[in-house]
Amino acid sequence: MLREDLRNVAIIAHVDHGKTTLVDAMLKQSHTFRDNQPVEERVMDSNDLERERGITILAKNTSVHYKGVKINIVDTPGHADFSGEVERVMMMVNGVLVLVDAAEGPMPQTRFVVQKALEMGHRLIIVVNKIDRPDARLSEVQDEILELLLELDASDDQLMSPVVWCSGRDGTATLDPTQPGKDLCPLFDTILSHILPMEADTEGPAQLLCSSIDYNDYVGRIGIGRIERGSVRQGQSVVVANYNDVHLKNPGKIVNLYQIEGLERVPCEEAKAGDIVCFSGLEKINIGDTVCVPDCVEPKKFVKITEPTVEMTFSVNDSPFAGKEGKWVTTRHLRDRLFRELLKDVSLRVEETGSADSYRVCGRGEMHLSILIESMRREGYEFQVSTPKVMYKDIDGVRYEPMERLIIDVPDESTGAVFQSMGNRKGELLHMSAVGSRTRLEFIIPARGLFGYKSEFLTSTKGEGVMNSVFFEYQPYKGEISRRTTGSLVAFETGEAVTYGLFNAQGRGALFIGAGTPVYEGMVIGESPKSEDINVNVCKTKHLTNTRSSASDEALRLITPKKMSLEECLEFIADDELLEITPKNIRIRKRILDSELRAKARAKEKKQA
Amino acid sequence: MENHTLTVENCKRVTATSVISVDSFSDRQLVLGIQDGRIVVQGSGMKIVNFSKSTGAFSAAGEITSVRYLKKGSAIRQKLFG
Repeated sequence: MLREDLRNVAIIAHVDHGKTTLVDAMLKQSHTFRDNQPVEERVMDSNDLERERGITILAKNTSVHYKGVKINIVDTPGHADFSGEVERVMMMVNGVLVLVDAAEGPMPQTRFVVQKALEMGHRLIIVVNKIDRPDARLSEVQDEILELLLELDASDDQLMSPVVWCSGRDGTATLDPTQPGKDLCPLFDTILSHILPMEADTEGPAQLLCSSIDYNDYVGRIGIGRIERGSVRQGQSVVVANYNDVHLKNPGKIVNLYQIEGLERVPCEEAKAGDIVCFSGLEKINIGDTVCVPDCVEPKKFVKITEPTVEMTFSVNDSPFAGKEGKWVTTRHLRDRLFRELLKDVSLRVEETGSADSYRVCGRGEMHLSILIESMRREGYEFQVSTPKVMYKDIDGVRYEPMERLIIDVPDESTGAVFQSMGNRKGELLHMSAVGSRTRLEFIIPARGLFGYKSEFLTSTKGEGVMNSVFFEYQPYKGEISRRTTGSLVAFETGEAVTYGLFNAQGRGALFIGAGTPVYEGMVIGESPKSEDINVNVCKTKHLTNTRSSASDEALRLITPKKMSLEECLEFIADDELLEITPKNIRIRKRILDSELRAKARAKEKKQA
Repeated sequence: MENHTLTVENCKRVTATSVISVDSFSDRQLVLGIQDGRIVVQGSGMKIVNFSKSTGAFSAAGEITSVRYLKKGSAIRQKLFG
């Protein structure tokens, strides 16, 4: 049976290319909101971390009705580190809108995600967005898209994909860039004409593939997925199976069944093949499981998710200030939270380590893990993390490491600096071309070589450079890469930092803290230009005598401390340092707090080396 | 140096084929890697216009003053500074 009344569409794009804004406009124009209903700027980005960073982290579902056809729209994550989400979404849809910024053109994430869509044989609609930008390069971007499709061996049908020129912000679309659009109807019409209706067998035994998971305190775990065959009813008894695990056969019952209307989940009695539904009542349902009828258990094949490449150790906070600011501080809290994250995030992996207080957390990149850290921090968790490391592999006795494809877009004058850095970080140039007054470079570089490069890159390109990377493959180990050449200023007394103490310390390097900050022994309070660590006493007050009064302290001028963000701290910490994360503060500390023990450990290390 | 070609147009643009790598680059000198050694292109205001490792195509623009071929193993420093 041909589901003429339904289209399932995903929107794929690079970070900040306007994906969620376009979905907002589509929702508004299909009258999902009453005219007088106030609509927040970015409807689909529900959590504030996403709004602040302006990126989509979780793929969300919504739907609109146009000319009697229901169009399910699935918004996909824009950042390469969340591509585990994207691969799953591909299973729920029959076509994709490939969104490309009219000025920036296709970037790494677009390449990675389009490759996944092409591999699955989906039909594409190219949406060139932000055509209202003054620096829009319409014809060049169209050529670049064609070049990308050619490079990714798109089929002839996919090469002939229609192009729609849009402005998500103004809510207009047109098929001819020279004719300004009035509304998004050309886009809706192209979806109906180009994305084929799904061929669905609504009579056969039910088969529902779970592609996403959500959690709700009232109904518990909610599975989200498309019905591949047959139909599903509320209260129906089912069996949960998995293609990769033949022994998994959990009987259960679908307690609640919902369909998506606009942004709400609307309860429904029955849904049939092709529909994207949410269902609850199956506590053990997981991503990749298939819900079948008891008399015909036939799990569906699930797309292979690329593995994590970066790991960090999360452990219970044991610094002198532990337990003062966090709500959840124990190892059980930390463990529950990390394992609960696994349910929603397929690209994450959490393993127990030898110690009961620490866990090995693996993700798809620094950004992926830093967003997990930030989310936990805002929820009131207190813990500490180690410096990010890459995950090596041993293949036939040879050590392999993850490589990333890095695309850099810089002004001409910064090309030399980028080349220099890439040389030091073992980057290999693949491609270089002039794009107007800027240069685009493409490198293959070890993931390890990218640690801490983002801030160096922005400094060397005076903030004008754009860099994006995506996992490429595993290659033999490329040798030593020198990471951090500077040392740390370490406080060797617990107390409160005072102006007098800081004044003496700032002569040794850049400070991270100001006067009045509580410090403890072993806490890193600054960066020293030399490669050795320097112990400083920032709690030292001026020795008051009858001639040296306390009032003359005001004469001391302190340089403004360098405030470090979470990402900068992660880039900064060395192997012998940890990052203490609390809801109120982020502090860098030495693994060994006591300065004498630390000196002994370093001496022993030098002897062994 | 199978099928390697290099052309210089009016001392303003250099185009080459079968280039394996761009070993170093500044606005006064480019060092390109080819199968049997290296090419050193010197001048001023040098800018790489295009390079593709997969096809080996390379082109750069600027005020070109010299192009020098160095066999594999010959130390650049010795060749450059005599």
